[in-house]
Amino acid sequence: MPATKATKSVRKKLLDAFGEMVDKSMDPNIPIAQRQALLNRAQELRTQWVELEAARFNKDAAAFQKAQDKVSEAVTDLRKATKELDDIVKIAEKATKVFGLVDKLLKQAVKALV
Amino acid sequence: MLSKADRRAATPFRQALSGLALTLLLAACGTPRDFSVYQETIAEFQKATDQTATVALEYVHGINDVERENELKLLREDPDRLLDARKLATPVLTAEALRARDRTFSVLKQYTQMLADLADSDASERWKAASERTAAAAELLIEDLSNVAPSLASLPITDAISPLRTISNVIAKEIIDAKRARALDAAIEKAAPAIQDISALLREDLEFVIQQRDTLKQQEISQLSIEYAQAQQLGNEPVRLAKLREIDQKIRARKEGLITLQSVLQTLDQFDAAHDSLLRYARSDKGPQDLYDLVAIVRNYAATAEEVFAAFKKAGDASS
Repeated sequence: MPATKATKSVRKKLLDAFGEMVDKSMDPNIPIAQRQALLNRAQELRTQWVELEAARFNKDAAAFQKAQDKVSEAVTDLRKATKELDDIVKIAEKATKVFGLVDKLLKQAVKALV
Repeated sequence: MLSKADRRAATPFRQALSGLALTLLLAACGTPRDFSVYQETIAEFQKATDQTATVALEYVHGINDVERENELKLLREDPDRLLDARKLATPVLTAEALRARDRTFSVLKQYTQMLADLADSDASERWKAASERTAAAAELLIEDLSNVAPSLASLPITDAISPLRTISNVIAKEIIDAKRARALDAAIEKAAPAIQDISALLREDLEFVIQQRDTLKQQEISQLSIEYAQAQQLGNEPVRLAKLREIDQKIRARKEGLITLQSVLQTLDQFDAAHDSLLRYARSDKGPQDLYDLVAIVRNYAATAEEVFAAFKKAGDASS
């Protein structure tokens, strides 16, 4: 965790430095050549900042995977709950068939008795 | 006559029905709620999350292209710039890291879809239809038993019918809804920490996207301001005025771009608020105020997500 925080802080410092450089490069009181040099330096800082952000992005893949696994568990639970509800309904549906079958058997039994 | 096998078949069936009746009656002790409003709210949350994830992923996938385009632009504009072909050939974000985002959002979509599907399940309606058919079949059987063979009325089948008959359709609907609501609550509770993590990670990605694009615009404006000063120094009025127009356009474009990208981040804020409210509702006593709060927050999120999604689509259509 401290390492991540340090990296985040470094990233922010780089971005702030970029902002300052760009800001100065637009200052009309500074000679043009120096303004261009400041902008060039700002571009370099930005490249370094992008590299650090990209490294963070690529490293976060593992954290995404971990979170994904947890959400998958909840999805499995939801599937199970949906199936349980279906099963309850199926019992009622099956009951109809069983009563029909018993009624049929009953009528056959009566016929046999008569 | 009924065979022994038929009688044996009737006994476990009666036990199953008695067990079902007990389970359902116990489930009926759950907190009542206006389930249809809850269903609609979950469906709204699902749709809004889908839209948020689509927009966010599209921006995240654009990171590599934006960097590559920038490098090509700098090479075109600066004849002295050294060409590092590796920069053009190797994307800054790895394919694996991008796939990890894709997979996570695919699972997140599945999760919200399953929430919506379960909330919208027609189990209670199917139960109603099935139980009506069952009741008709049972009534016919009892009628036949008492009319034509009173001696058969003592068979266990009459006992088996009774638990099912005690469950009215109204009660059954409440029971099924309560069972379903508890499953939804449990899933929301279980997934919550992971979803909060995903949101925090996505926030970092989106902040990167915003700054990545904005820093490029800042560079462009700075370059133009230098070119303006050069034209001014040389007394080249047409170029000076052209640069002034360009600077004005770029400043406006930067402002608009920032508003658009910030709105995606605001949608993520509202996603967090909506998800928190779902979680709070799952943990609450489900009173009318709890439901009202949930609906208000989710609707607010859904409206923003819809707006941002429409703006994103419009921007995509305009650029294609």
